[in-house]
Amino acid sequence: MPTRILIIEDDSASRALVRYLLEAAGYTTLEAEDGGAGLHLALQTQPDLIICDLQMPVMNGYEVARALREQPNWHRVPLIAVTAFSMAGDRETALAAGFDEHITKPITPETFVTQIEAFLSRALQVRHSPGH
Amino acid sequence: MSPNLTAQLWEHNPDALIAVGPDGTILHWNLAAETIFGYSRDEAIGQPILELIVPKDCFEEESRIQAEALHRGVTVYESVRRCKNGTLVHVSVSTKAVLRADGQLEYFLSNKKDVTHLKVLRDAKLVEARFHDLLESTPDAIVMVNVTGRIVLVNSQAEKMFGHQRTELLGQPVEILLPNRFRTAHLAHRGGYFEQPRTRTMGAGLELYGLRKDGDEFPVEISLSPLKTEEGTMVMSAIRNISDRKKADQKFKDLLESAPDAMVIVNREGRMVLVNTQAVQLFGWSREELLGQKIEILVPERYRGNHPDHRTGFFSQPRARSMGAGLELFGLRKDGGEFPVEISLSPLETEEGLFVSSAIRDVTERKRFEQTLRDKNVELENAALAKDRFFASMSHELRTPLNAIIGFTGTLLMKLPGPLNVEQDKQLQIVQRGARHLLSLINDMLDLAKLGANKLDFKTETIDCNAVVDEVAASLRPDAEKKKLLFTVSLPDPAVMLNTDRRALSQIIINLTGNAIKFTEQGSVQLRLQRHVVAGRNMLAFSVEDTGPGIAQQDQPRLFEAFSRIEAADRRKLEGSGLGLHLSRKLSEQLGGRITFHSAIGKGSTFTLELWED
Repeated sequence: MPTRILIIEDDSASRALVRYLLEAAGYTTLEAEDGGAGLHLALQTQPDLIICDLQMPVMNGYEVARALREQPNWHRVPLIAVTAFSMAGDRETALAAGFDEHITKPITPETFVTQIEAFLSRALQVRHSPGH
Repeated sequence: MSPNLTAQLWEHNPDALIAVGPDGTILHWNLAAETIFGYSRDEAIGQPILELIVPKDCFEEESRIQAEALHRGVTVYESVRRCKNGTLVHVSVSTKAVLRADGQLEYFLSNKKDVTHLKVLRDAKLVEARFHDLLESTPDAIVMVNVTGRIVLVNSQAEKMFGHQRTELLGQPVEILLPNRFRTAHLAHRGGYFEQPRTRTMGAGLELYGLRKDGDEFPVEISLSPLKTEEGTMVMSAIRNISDRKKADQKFKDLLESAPDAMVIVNREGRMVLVNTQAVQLFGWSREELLGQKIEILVPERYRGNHPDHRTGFFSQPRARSMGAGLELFGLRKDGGEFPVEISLSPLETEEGLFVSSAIRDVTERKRFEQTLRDKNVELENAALAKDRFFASMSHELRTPLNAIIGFTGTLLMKLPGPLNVEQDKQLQIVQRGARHLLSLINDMLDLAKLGANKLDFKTETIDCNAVVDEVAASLRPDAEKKKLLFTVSLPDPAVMLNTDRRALSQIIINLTGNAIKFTEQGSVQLRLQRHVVAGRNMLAFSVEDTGPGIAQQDQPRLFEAFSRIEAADRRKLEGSGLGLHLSRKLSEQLGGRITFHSAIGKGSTFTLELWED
């Protein structure tokens, strides 16, 4: 089964960029345009990793993270915030809400996939570890 | 003897000759009687003698003597009589009962000789002998008068006080020691005193004055005491010169008046005993209305209930303090208006006991000012909050489109969609540089704005400076190598630890090193961390030396100004925001250090961040 990554992002250009980079690297992507749809899709499809914007309509990224972290067995799915929030304290707020990483827009396309894969491999290792 | 001569003898008898009928009314009154007692013949004849000139306490004596005269025919005695002006005189009296042929009383004929001066001399001798030593030893001036108001004794303190010799005073009416304007009233009071003699203060509540021989007046306080002797009742007056106290009182009043606050002095019963003009103006009551009133009339109704208890509490533990600390206090004006006040209380020890002095300040203006200030602060906080939100939104909104520009330029240059020809590659690199320039501009601008609003969070912690320099070097080395520059880093051993803000330090070194790489086309960029001792203190110098074009002398003063980037020959090569050095200098100042440089055209530049190590 291919590795599936869910992209929750309301800005279509940003969504297209991340999708392009991930698909070029061989991943399957799923997309949602707001937090509510993203949460719904996540629960429905059980992706391997979620990339999530913070400022979105319906449900913002923090709410999505908190909702997911409350689900049983969801604590091991890496949750990466990719956001234009770059002020002091923004990173801490994101981590506190349950994100594993906070990447500031604009992303660096040359290194973005590598950054994501660091979390992916950790999650996959856990998933494939004996006794899981 | 002719009837005429008889009449003349009657008239000119040097002593008062008075005939009184059996019913006690006056039948005859000669010239000497007029002189001694002050009543004219018309005023006297037909009047009851007892009411006219006999003091009450002599009524009994008078009737006894008349009885004796009836019995014996003639009787001789000494007594006191009252004159028209209220004063008493000593008289030596001979009275004869004149009978009709049938043996019934026709009238009493009295011969009254004024022996006041003789009596004074006698009294003087008596009291002198008896009281001299005692009265000399008292601190007060003592003046003793007999029943006729004549001075019979003065002690030396009194001589000094009034400037008279003893001999000048003995036998004189005591009024000689009073200013003229008080004399008439005094005569009447004096007569009254002898009718009810008891120890008391003279003229309670009145201002009394003494008169010196030289005409000077001085304020006095006088105590009177009756003294019974076999020569009759004497009055002893103890006189105290209260000029000093009056002056002190006046000074105190002046002091109260000069106080900036309304001052109210309150006694133990809570009644106002002294108020200054400021208090009168503040509360709208006149001084007369306030004095003697309870202080509570100045307190709004709803606070009055507890006030007397607080007052009692203060008297039990009197010390200077402000009233109702932390409470909002209000004053009440006569017109019912209230105003916020601040009150300080202090105990005031006086001869009349413990008072409270309260200084009352109307703080209406200050309250209004404070409220304005609070409103302004809220306004400013809101403005600051709005500004913060604006920065955050601006940052967010500018980054989102930049994400697509930098991202897709990157994917194209990474040739993910497919190969590029040389021109496409070149043009895309120009787009990429432009986009990165825009990003650094946004970052620096936000930092500057936050710095200006003191919103940059500086977190001071102990950091490894070698590690910071290494990180910066690692991130910028690719840029230097791309330009084929020699890039060296030299660090002290052991590593330097410093208490400072990591992000700010790192940002400054990135800026300085980035500039050096940017402006140097060939040669080297050398990054160094060194320790110096300056004026006995350890200084850390982070220096970046390049072999770039150098900065012209005339451009150097504007180097750290925002957007003052020096025009280089090849503008295409310029990157960065034009805010880098400006921001770096401001950051270095926040860290307690500074940035220095030396540079010359053709010789390269060295920029140094200097931070104190201790």
